[in-house]
Amino acid sequence: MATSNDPIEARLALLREVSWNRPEHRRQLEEKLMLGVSDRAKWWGWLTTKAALFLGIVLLGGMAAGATAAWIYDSIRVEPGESDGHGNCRFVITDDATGEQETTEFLPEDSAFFTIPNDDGEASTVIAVGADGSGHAPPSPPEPPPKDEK
Amino acid sequence: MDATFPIVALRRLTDDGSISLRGDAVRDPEHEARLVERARHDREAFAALYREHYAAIGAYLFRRSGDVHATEDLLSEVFLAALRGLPRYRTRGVPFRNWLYRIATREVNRWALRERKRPERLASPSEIMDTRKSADSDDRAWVQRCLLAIAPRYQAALTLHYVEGLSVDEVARTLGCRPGTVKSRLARGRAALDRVMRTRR
Repeated sequence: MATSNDPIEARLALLREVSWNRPEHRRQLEEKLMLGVSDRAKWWGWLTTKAALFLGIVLLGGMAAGATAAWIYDSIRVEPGESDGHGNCRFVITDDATGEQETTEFLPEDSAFFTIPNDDGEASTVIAVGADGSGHAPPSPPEPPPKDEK
Repeated sequence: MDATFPIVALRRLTDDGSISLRGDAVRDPEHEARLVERARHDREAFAALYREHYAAIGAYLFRRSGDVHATEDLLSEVFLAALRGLPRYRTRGVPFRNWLYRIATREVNRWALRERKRPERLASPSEIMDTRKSADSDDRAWVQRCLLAIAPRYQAALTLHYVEGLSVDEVARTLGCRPGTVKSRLARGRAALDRVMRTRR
């Protein structure tokens, strides 16, 4: 703390006598600040409401997606159907939840990939269903030519 | 804005028995911590903090700037910054007023740097601290001009320590530096101020 014996400190001590008392400014600034608090509170409330809404949408979307995935995997089975011998496929056979089987012909706008496990269970065949309703298996790599035994 | 708000705020804060608006109670660390915690989302609590510290921070800014209009603007900036920064404020042993001092120091240092580029203002401050024309007010205005002529970091250290009465450790916590740095700034600031006072007398 300052000691008045020091000339610098004594001169600086003169500033202690300076006070600040501006009632009008104090009132105006307080009003401005309180409006700021209100705006912040509104913003916080808005954020809380939006966050709750967003969380609800995420939860509902997650539940819907889970239910849809469960329905797809549990009740639809994709099989090659009839083939022309080159991997082409025109029908998808589905088993619904009651065990009934339905054969569906592709609509022209349908386009998707289906993976069908082979009989040996180790590999699978991918069938691409085109927009024209045709199904095509990806071309298999050519088999290497047999080696001549010497 | 509700014109009766200050009275309502006073009544509601004191009715619950946990917070008093008397200065000594607000400066009590526990009471102050509770009030600050409430002020994060309670405008009445923030109003109580504002009223408690308005005059002290205003006086500090006025002593530093010597300009009424600048002080009013700086006070607005300080309390608006405090309002915005309150969610991030953590006590950590630093009283709320010292946190306000820190914000005020930052704002008035920026102002002083801007003013240093306008020498005509430093030569004759637009506002005299005391409207009463007296030898004391002339001396204060002269000290004010000399103080404004040195680097803002020295102004801050000298004012906080010798005028506001903060200890070296408190100044260090307020400015966010080490006590040794404050001592160095005080020594250099005193030397700089002495040089300016000798040339401007």
